[in-house]
Amino acid sequence: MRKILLGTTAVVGAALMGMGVAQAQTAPTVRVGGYFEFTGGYVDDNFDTAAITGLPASRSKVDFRSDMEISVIVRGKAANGLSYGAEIELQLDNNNTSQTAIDTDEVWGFVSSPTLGTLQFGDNDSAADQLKVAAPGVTNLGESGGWDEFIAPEAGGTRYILTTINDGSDSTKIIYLSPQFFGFDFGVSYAPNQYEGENFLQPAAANNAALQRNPNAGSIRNELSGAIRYRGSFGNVGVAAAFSAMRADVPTGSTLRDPNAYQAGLNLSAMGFTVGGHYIWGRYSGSAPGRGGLAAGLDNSNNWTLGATYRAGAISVGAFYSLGKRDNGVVGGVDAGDREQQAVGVGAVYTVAPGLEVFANYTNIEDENVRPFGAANVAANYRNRSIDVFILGTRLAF
Amino acid sequence: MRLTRLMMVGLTGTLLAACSALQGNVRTPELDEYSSDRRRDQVRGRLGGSDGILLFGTDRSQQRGGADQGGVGIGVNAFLWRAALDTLSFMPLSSADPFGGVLITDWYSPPGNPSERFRATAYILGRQLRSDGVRVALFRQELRGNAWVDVPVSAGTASELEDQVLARARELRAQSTAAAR
Repeated sequence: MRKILLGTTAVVGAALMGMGVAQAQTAPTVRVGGYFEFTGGYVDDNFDTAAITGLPASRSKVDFRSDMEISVIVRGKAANGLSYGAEIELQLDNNNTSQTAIDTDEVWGFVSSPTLGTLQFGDNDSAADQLKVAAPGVTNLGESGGWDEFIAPEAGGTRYILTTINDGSDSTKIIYLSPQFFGFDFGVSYAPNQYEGENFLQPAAANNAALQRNPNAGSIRNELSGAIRYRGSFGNVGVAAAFSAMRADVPTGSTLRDPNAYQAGLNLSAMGFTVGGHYIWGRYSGSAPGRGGLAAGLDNSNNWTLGATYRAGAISVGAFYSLGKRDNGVVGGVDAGDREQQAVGVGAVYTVAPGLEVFANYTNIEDENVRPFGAANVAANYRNRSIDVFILGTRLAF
Repeated sequence: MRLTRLMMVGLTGTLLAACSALQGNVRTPELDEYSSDRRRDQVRGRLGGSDGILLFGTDRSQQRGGADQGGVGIGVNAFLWRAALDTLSFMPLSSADPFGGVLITDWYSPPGNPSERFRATAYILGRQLRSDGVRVALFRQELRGNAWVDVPVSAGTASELEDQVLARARELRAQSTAAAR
């Protein structure tokens, strides 16, 4: 018996000793992903009347749109544990008459160490944007969600002033994202100017003198952004909070003041519910916080959003309220007041299959003191705009 | 002297505790842990199951997901299968069928005891990674005169080997989760 025991113990011992350790290295993979979206919209906008547009009749209320993006995703891991990869995104863009031109969206590469953090380089979103915490939403519902694609811009070219901190407009930049320490992480990014892509010539430059390095090129230069974020849970409540900030210089020769923008956001989630909000403020105007300087004499801008979502199985529902303010300034000696845009929306998303969603939502927008497209810039032309948008559609991701 | 030694032990303990606390709470977030305004990222799940269609390379994530749920190119749980292979690899292998989940070793004599030999058969019973998903049968023979004679194996040995396989499977799963980060 003793011999049996000894022998069998030796077998188990040999089994213990003989094990190898798996390799950490991963050969690179290349994937193609993307999405396709179809949306039908019903729009009721008091700026769509013949009297305002100058058209012989009011605009139609119904329209359809399709959208898509193709991503090439490269991922790999070296034997020393360093992850690396790149992403190339091709999108439908509306910069030609057919609305179907394809250009690049984000184009960037990265290296990531398990202990030192991640370095991204290329045309990607800024650190302030990547680490931001914003009001929760469901697909195509939000302060600048699906509704704005269906409406006409106002005279300044914006459809909405309700947004999160700007994403850096994919200007070519470098981004450092730190490891997470006890739930906290931070990031910084830098872009020397606002341009993206491979060419150092400005778009439409007639000669080599017009480089993007010129101190007077573009609308902002030396864009620095950063954020600090916390994620954790207390009891059964998940908490995410972040503070994001960015600043930039205006080009030499500009009379505008250097822009900056700040965003604070908080999300709480438990039992399928997520509630949260964000507040953005800073020295800027227009729709994208901090993408251009602010004229002297104009007040700083701000906007905020509160949102809630609930998810039960394949169905998600959400609602939000959003309010934003921009200073119109003095026009022809008369104060045109503040533009105040308010949006409230409710919506639902049904996940038919993983990667295939059907969404429907309704948004009401009340835009005060806004000037219709084409109207002369006199204070009398600033008026209130009221919009209702209902959208129904599907998005497919692979 | 004793106090110094005590203090050293205390200090080392504190350092070790601090290191382990740091180790559990410091990590580099995955790329999908950052805020994304991409329309593709707002959609839950992906058609086809994986994030994009694989053009080039080996799909590790699919293997990992598949190992939990059943596996793609393998009929039984991949972690248990690998673990059984690793555990019994000290013996020469006679037959391995990853689809049926049967692993049969050849006879093996422990070093220093040529008059005794073992043979093991491992059965992976399902696609799930669970503790009753593996069964090991162990056979033992002794050389008496010129002939090998069957002798009984102590009752606990087979289940000890099963425990080894399970522990190894657990380790492999932890490694693959860590590698995917």
